[in-house]
Amino acid sequence: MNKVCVLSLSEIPIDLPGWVSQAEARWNRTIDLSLPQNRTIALSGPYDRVVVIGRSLSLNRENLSRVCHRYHFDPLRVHAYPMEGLTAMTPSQRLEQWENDFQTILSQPDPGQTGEVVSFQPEKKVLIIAPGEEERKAIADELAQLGIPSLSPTEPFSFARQGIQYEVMMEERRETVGAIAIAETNEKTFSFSISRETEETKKVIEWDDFQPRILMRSFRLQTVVFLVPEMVVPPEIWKKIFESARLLAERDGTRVLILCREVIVAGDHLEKAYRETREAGVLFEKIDFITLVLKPTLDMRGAWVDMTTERDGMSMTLHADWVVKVPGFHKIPTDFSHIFQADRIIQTVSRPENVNLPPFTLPYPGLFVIPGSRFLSNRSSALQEVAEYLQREILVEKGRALVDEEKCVLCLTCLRTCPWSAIDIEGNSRRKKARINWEQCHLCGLCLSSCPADAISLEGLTECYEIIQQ
Amino acid sequence: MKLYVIACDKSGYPALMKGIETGEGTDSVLTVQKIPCLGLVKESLLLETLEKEYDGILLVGCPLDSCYNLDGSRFAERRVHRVNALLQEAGIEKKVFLAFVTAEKTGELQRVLMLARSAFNKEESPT
Repeated sequence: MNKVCVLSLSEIPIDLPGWVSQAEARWNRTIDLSLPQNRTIALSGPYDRVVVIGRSLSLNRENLSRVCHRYHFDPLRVHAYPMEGLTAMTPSQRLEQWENDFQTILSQPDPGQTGEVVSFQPEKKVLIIAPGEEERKAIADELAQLGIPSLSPTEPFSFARQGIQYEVMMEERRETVGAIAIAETNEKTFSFSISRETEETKKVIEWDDFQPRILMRSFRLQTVVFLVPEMVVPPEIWKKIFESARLLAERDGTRVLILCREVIVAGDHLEKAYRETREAGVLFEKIDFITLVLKPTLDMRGAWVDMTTERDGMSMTLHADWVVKVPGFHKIPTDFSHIFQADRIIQTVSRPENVNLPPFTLPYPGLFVIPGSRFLSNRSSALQEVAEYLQREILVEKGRALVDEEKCVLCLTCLRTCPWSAIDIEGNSRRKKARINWEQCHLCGLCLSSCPADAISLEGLTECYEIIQQ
Repeated sequence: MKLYVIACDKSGYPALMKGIETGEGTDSVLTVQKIPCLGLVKESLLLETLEKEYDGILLVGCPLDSCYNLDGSRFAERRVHRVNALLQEAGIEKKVFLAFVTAEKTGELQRVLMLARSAFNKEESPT
């Protein structure tokens, strides 16, 4: 097997067709060339070496897996060659550099085993975990509109990962689902504490109690301060705040000040309402609630509001006739300790604030957090994300990560370290060892670097991507 | 200054290659190694590399909070601190640098390279 394939993902600044004929004679290899302009040429493997040339951004592992799957390449024999280093050179320098690097790739030792890229399609079915029947039904209806069947489990139940899918175990049956949608539960919260003396003025009032009063009485020439200390306030509540504040300002000439951490207006059709509220004379101020102090006035008919604005750091004091407490929502994490059957106890699954992960997903592929019913506008985008995940083809590389049975001392370090929970324990009562589930493995190598016994190896992921800059 | 650069597949490598292409502050880069995640780098690998002719090692990867593999950059940071402490204790004038970048934002990479250059220049000066 002395065949080499050179596949270019984009236009490169070297005359490869001209180079191939002399290179074949020089290295005594058959070189198949696949360029963007002659992609229709059939590549007949298997190849001893495959060099994929392209921009470094497109040479990530996922893309290379895709290339391997499409052209049936062995991923252990694929070498990525970034073309950025060549662009600053003269044509002769480029050719020289390319030949040197090609020689280096050819001289790499044979991996000694074969790898494979396997394609998976998750089962088009979603398990819904929601706190109430009503919410579960709402999510199921929305999924049905997207053409995805859902499963509402009968209690008690538990689930476990089966490759890229999940097996749901109920009392009378077992079912396999491709994804799990967990509806978030929220509780009302108001995190800013107000002193007892200020509360005793009876001018500090809950948002729910204040709303009916707006229609019942006049707030003519008074000052109303809305306190919104939470970051997560549903758009419906913001909409009502805008409406009420505008009504107060326009009808009674009330001075309205809204103190908040953040005003959420984008994406919920609230831009217009926000603009109109500001035009009506309502003031919005973003403040750090640590600096806010509320004190009662001497006549106990209002409160002094001491605050420092985030905008310019100015501290100011104003007299408020009414202080309205607007609650936000706090997410309650779902308890997973009883329903998620895994080698590692998973108490709760919290959403990591990681921009690299797709929105609404958790660190376990196929697990999605669906925003609660108070965030209707986000729910459909989350379910759209689930639908896209189920339609996507998932490519997994087989035969890369291996555990040496002789070396494994079963210390469970890898099990704790793996960010994707892809490691479990196999074997009988006499001999057990760690096992890497290749369907779940993202080939990050964190287990390899943590293994104290040096029992884990990743084939061909670190050695083959070396390039020399002069 | 001879630097051995280890870059992660997701962020570090594209950022570094972008820097090499535009020639912004990457003249000291000698060898680039691409790895899936910075969490893969062991202390032993760093020390073995430093035994060669390189003056230092630069690790380029995802920012701590947005590492694609969640904990990879955190692992790398911990190991780099440990290796640097070892080198300092042994009185070896080599160092491991760490730059957290994203594929599009290469400013941090240039800053760390400048820092590395100034650190080595200081050590090489006769005073």
